[in-house]
Amino acid sequence: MEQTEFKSHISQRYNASLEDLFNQVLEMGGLVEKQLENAVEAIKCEDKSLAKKIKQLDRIVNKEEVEIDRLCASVFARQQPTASDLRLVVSAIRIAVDLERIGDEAVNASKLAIKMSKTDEVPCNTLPAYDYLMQILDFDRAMLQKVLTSFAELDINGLSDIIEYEDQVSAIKAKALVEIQQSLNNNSDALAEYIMQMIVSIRSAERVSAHIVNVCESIIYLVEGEHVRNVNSEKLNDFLNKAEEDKS
Amino acid sequence: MSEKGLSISVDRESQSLSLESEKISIEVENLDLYYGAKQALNKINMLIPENRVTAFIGPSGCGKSTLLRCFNRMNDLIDIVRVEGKMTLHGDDIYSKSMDISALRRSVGMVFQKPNPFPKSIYENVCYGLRLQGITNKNTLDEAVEWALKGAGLWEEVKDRLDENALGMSGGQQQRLCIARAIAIKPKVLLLDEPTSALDPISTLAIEELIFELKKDFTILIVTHNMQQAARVSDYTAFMYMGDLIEYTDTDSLFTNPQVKRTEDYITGRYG
Amino acid sequence: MKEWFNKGEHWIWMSSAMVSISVVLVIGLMGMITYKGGIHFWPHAVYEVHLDQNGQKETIVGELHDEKTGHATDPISGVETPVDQYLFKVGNRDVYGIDFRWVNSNVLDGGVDKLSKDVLVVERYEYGNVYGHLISAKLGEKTLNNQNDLLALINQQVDKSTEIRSQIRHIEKIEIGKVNYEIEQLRFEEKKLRLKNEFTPEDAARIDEERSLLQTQFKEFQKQTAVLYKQLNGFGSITVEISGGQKLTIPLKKIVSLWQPNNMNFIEKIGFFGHSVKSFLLDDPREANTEGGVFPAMIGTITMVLLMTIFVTPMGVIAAIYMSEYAKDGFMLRIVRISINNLAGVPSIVFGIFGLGFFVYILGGSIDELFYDYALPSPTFGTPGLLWAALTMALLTLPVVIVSTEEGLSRIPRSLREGGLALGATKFETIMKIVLPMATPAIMTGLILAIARAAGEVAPLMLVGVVKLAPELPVDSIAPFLHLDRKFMHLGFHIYDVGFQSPNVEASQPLLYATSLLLVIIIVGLNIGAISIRNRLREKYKALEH
Repeated sequence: MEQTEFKSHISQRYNASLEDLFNQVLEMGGLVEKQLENAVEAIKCEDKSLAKKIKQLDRIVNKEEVEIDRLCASVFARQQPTASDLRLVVSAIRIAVDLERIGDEAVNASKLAIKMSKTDEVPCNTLPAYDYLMQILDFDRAMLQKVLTSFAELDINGLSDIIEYEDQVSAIKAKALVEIQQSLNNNSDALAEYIMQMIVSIRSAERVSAHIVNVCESIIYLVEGEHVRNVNSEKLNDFLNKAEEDKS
Repeated sequence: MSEKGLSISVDRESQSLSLESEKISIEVENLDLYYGAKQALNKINMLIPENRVTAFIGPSGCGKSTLLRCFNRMNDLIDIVRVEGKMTLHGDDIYSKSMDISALRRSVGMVFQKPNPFPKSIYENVCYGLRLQGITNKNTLDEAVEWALKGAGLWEEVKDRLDENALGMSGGQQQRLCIARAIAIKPKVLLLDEPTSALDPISTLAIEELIFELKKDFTILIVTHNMQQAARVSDYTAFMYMGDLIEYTDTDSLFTNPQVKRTEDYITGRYG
Repeated sequence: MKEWFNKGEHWIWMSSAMVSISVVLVIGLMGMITYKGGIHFWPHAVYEVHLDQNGQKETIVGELHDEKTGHATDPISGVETPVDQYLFKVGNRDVYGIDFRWVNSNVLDGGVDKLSKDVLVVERYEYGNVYGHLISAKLGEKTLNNQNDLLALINQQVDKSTEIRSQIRHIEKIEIGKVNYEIEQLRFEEKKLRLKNEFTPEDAARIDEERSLLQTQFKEFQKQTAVLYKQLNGFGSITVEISGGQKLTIPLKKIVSLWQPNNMNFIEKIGFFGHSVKSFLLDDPREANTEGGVFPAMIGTITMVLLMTIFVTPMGVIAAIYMSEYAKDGFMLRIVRISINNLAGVPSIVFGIFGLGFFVYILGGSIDELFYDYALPSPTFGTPGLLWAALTMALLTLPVVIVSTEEGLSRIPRSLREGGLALGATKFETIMKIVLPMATPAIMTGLILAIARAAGEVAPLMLVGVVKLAPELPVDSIAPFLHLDRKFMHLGFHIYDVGFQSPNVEASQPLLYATSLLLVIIIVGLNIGAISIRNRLREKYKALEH
């Protein structure tokens, strides 16, 4: 499906509103991407102000979500979209919800930076599972970038990578939890406070990838018109491969 | 002006409409209309903004067409119709005794439900209104015809067959020709009385798009049975019921969050 | 069977039966008129029959026109026996006194199918046809007997005499007619001036001078005709032997044409047929309308009908526009409508009486007093004439035009009128430019009905302008070309006159059918013209009718 399809209605006004909606989603995606990027930086540098900036960005993201809702409602009320237009509007609402959740999770993850900035004794990178957290966040960023690209291009070819990444994220998360458990068994109580926060951050980072997979599903719905929610990753992968074969 | 804008309401708990940022083209004040003894419009109050599309929706017989026909005094054709109240176009009282009806109708053009081109050539149809004004200069007419046909989005389709009979065109083309005919005399206001009810969906969309284009030059009032059409083309929407103006507000609000229960019932299809 | 009735089959059968009857009637009518009228132009075979009446032998030469079964009474026993009777046209009216003769089959000696050999039929300007055998001809000074090319020579001479005859006719009718007309105008001018008391000696001198000029012209023309008449007399004559052995000498100048029907082949007969049709259409009637052509009646009919159309169209259309567009619906309008519908039911002769009383005497009398007082006491418009006939016919057909125009106007969609009004046109502009042009097919329908009615009507015309024999055509080459005050001839009246007022009923019978056929053709022709115009208009506005 070409993106120009949304610009080829007889009604210029309809074209404009769909384009607005489309751009609004991309813009929101960009903001969330920024949030994730900031979260990584903040945790690396224990930068409190950067973490606060993530919170400010989150407010904008929330507003964007409302704006997308409004735009969708307007398109529904005025243009009575059908077929691909209808799927665009429906998936825009769903993507907006997921993006907003990703933003929230980024805020949660960056709370580690705030916590760590309060103490100079424990450097952040000495915490157990720190590397794993960074790996997960890197995966998150890569996935988000891919998913936004595929939304922008209305192309589902890159999405199978994301499903794969998500499996890797789950594996890393499992490893991280094992390391934390060991560290809790061995270490003194002094670090427990920070380790708790680390657990929250890892969980948030993992949730981000789960939301990104939801966005993937929305994009598949938008492009292919198929409902692929609540299926396991294997089946999803099969579907994507099949879709690619059909294309080529 | 703004006070009036705020007072456009019928029910007490009804909506308010802010037209502060808009220039006002037509003001309607306490307009009553009677068919003999039967009252067809009750105390209509509304301000119609300039260069905007204002849609009138409502069930059959709610008086929306009757109200539309008040703007160019088309109701005068029916002997038993009596109009009370005030209606002004850019400050001139439409119903004053001194109003020249022909002049009024030249500044308030109208397009009807069924395409009604005259059984003449396309060219003659478009310049009919100009010829009535006594314009005979060929160049002036040629220019006006081209301008009007371009304005109605018809020029490319018919420029090579202007001398053909207009009745040979398709329904959608005929309706656009009627719009061209109406705008050729450069009215200030354009009244559209269910302009697409006799057309197929694609012609309908073409006309709707045309309406969107035309509002740059004209104030447009459109009556439609088709709520979705009102939603698509209009900036402001008025819902009428049994001769009352129930709700009049911007189209987005009316279709996403109507303030009056009856409006909601009608636009959601719960209307009994 | 019950099912058959329930399905309504019997209605279908009944309606198709009615349609068939109508079609058969129309075809039968047209067929009969065409056949009987066509016979008039076909060269009849001439038979020779021998009679033996109690020993008295007689030979009859003539065309067989009719046969029937009559009764012969035996003079002795008084018993009636059925017998075949044959009607022969024997011609030679000046000799026999009658030109038709019934012959009973019981006195026949031999059959009735023996063609008379080399018989010559001579059509004359007076006294009808001559049937006989050519003996000799005197062409100029030479007397010729039984030469091979005698007939051709005679024909040549006849053609020449016809030519000279038409020259004389032209001078007498057109040239002298013009001079007479101008002299008449001079007389009127003088009278006019005298009435106004402005008649001066100069005028008198001028008028006298012009009059004497015209008189000289007149004399000049008279001289010319005298010469031509003399030439005509010099063409000689032919002598034929008619049945009974009598010899008849016919001057060539009296011969219209002559032919030998029994010697003609089929192609020649068709040529003769065409020639007869042509002279029927283009010649003046002769012998109290029983012979010759119907040209003046044809022209009179067409002129009257067209003039009627010119009168009735504006009257009817304006009335219809008022009633359907302007008049308020109410009691008065209903009364007017009822009156118009009743007007359509008034017997046509009543319109004739009205035309005579109102148009001719009151209106025409007033016009004469106001504008033609110099011509009084001889009336100009105060006498039946073309104008009054056309007006009376217009009145007669007015309801038809009004009703169909109103019907047409009411069928124009309201949306079109509103379209006009919404562009700022006044009601009048809308009606004139949009509504009326679209109602033209309906107006044409009204006119078609009006034409059909007016062309066929005879009774009222007898009172308001039609005459048995008009001296001049209502349209000619003298200004103002169309003479509204003249009396005219009419095919319908011509039929009546020939059929019922003729001294020679049997001779005129074929002419009767031929004239009827022509009348029907003219009405159908006018209708086809109007219908084709209507169809073109309908085509133009067709797209609206959905």
